[in-house]
Amino acid sequence: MKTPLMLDTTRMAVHDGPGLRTTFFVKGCPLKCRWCHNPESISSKPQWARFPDKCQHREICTMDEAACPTGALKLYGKPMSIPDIVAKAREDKAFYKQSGGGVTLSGGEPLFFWEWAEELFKAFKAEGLHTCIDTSLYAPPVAVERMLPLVDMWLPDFKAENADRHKTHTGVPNGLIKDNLKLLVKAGAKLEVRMLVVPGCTDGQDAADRHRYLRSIGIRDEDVAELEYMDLARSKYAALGMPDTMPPKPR
Amino acid sequence: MKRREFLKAAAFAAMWTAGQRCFGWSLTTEPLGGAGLDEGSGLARAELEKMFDAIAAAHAKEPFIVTRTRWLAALFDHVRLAANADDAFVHWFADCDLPGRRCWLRLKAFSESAPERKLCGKWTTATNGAWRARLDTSHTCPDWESILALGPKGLADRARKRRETAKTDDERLFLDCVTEVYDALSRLCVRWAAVAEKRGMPACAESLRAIAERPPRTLREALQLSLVYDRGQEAEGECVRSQGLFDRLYVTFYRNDLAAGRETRASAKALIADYFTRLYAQGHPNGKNIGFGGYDAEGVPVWNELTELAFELHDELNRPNPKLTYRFGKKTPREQLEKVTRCLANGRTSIVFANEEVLGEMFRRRGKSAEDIVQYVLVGCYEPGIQGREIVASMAAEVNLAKPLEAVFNSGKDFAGFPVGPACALPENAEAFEREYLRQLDAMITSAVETARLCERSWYDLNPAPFMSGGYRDCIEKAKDSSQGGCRYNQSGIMCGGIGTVADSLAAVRALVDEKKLVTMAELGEILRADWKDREELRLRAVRAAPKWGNNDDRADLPAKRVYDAVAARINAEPNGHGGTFQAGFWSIDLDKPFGDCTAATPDGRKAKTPISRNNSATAGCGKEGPTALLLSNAKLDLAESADGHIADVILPASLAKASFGAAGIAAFLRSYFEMGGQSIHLNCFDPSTLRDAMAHPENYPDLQVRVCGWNVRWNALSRREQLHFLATAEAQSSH
Repeated sequence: MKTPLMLDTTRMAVHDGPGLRTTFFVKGCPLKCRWCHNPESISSKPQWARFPDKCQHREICTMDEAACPTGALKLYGKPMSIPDIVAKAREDKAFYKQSGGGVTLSGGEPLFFWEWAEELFKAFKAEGLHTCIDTSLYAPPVAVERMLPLVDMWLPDFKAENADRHKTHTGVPNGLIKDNLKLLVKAGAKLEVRMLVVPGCTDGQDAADRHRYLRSIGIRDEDVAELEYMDLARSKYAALGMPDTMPPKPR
Repeated sequence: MKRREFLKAAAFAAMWTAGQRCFGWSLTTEPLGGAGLDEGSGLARAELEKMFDAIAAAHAKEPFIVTRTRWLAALFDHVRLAANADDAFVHWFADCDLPGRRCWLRLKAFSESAPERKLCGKWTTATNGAWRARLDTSHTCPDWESILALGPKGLADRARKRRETAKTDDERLFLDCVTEVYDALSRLCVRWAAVAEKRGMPACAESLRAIAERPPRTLREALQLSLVYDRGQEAEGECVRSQGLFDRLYVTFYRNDLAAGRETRASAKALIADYFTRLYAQGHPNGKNIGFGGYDAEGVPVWNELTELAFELHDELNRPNPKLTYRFGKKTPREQLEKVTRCLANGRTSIVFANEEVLGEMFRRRGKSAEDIVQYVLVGCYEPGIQGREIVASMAAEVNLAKPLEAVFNSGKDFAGFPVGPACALPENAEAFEREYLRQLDAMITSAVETARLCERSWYDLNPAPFMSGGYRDCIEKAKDSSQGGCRYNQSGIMCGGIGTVADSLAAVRALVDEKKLVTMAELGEILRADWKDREELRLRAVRAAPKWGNNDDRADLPAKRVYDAVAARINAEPNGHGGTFQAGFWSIDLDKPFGDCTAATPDGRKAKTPISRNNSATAGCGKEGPTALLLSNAKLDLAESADGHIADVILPASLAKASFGAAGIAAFLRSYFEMGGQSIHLNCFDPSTLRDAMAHPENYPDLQVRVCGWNVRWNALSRREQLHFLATAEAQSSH
């Protein structure tokens, strides 16, 4: 079983499904989207990041994240066991109960580690937690089938309708993704499809094509959410030493 | 110097400066938006001063309450009055600071006459920032039910009638003083009516003439009386810090007005808007609190036309003051709570939420009757008290919980040599350190409560309050001034600040000394004495790698709980100096800075002279797990023991407020905290990016409000240091 390293956890998340939620981010993704706003989540290996503008202690820096108070030095990717994740999720149970919230697994691509995700979600369910998964659906259909009974709400991305354009922007074709979307519809899964609209890249005709396709496979408009593109992650590319591929955002 | 003498000197020094703090604010200032003073309506300040001198001389041999009564009556009869045609109500008159200021000067003279006065001066030098005690005359909630039911004339008559059965000269003297000030208040209303008439405010004039003669019958009269009373009490020298349970006090007036066709919803709303505006214009820097909601005597949540109107107005006016209290509990319907949280979602954060269940339990433990508990309000910022049954006096002493940390390292003295507690040997490990800390803290609390008691024992001589006391039905029944225990309940509060700094320090000692063995206890003491000089790396480890309060981490939360339990048990059992007990409060308001300024470096990595943790929040920059974890940490404490109040101070990401379920999400968040035992809570709603932008472009954010620590201010009114402090706290929470 492939086990991911974990990125930070967001408590009281309000955009990752209904209610107040705790969102866990896995590190590792088979896609490489040009506009990726979490570049630290692409590689599945640990990565050091340095934010020079935040550094206030250059003279005494020991290259130890634990001693860096300003977050100028950051290690992305730490192991976290399933019991530890569940324990963290359990902390905010009172808030889920009042708000109709729960836990969300995001990334990275959670289904990249689907056998592990299945174990994790079984543990979530044993705790009685409402579960969401934020996924590109670029995964073998068996992964979706196995997760179906464990996921209360799916938050799949639909990045481009045209297979070639999908490959150009994300590095992979979208055949599997479309198959999995159909599978979710067929299974009657509760879902909210997210469509990022990147100006000059996946807007206009591209967005219209996506809407048309989703309708054609039986997804209702109210289950589709367009997301605004933000190019705020540029400093992270630099900190990680990765080439910045983010398209410009017209001001 | 003997201990008692020292304490006395410290007490007088503290009273002196507390008076300064109390009278340093708006009493002298004209209201915002212009005074509208009628110069010909009374005497100039110099003439009033002469009159006051003559009164003081004539009654020098009698109890001070006589002088005070005559001062107030002279003020009401001769002061110059103001009225503005644009306003619905009158609220301000000139020289309203005179009687209060004279009492303050009296405290000062009294303090300076003490032979120990060389110790006087700034309070920080008197006790080196460990604590201070004072007569707290700046946190009261009047008996609004009596005031509105009787009016000035009725209040005077009540005292007159009670005098017939009075048994002692003291009782008769007190009741005569009450009668005299309220008779004068009636005359003031008549004089004020004439000025209002002259200024073209016939409706206002008519209402003033009416309340001079009889209890109010209309909403306009009732609200005008509330403002006249407010000004009268503050002129006496005690701040009114709760305008009472608004929706219960005024709803009958409102309904009668509508039924009789005197007002419409819209015209009543305009009246309430002007009432709010008068309170806002008063310019009190810490704000005026108004109560709403809560369970009634049958246990049914109160929500009526006025609750609805007031929150609607609060949302529309978008002002930092008045600040509203909303009481809710398990039985409060979702729709009601969400109408209030909608204001927060819109950035109107000048609202504090109080938990019916936990406060009910708190009051029961303090021996208050079920009938009285339903009448509770939050006074000042978030200090619970029973409307009309107690003064509250929530800041009789202020205790810096972080100070005894120094004493543990320095055999009972702080690093500057000021005695905090008994001499002690340096503890070897974290467990012994905590034990010694608690012993030092206990000794420090002993000094604070003894001094506060001393202050209160002189209360009647220094600051008798015939006007304020005359409003309380229990003071009339007992024929006793409030300073002598005339109210039904006579508690006073001792607030304790810095629990986060203490918890983090206890956890850091364990991490640095016991577990990681990076340093010995003796070395740590020397490092702190030297303010972490040349040990920056160790300091950063203490900041970053040791457990921190407010993150739902037992390693810091359990030490906090032990300190909390010890402090609450100790203070809640202490008799005070005017017939009640002290009550423990856990909050700091903005004393995190002055306390911090005189506290040496602490083991949690905090440097000397920097702020200690504020209220019950995580240390600035250390609340990495966000708001839910902060509430979980606080809920580990038995908050029904915080008899003088406990506040959770939360920064919510603006994304929550802006999300489509903003009001519902905030309501769910608040309810979760109350379900787990929270006492009261208030919120800020913003993102660090907004604050950064507001610092760079203040002109774009004229309306941006932030909640400081119990009151709201406009962002642009904060100093740069305060802005940076906010930003650091906000950024720590959103760094993940």
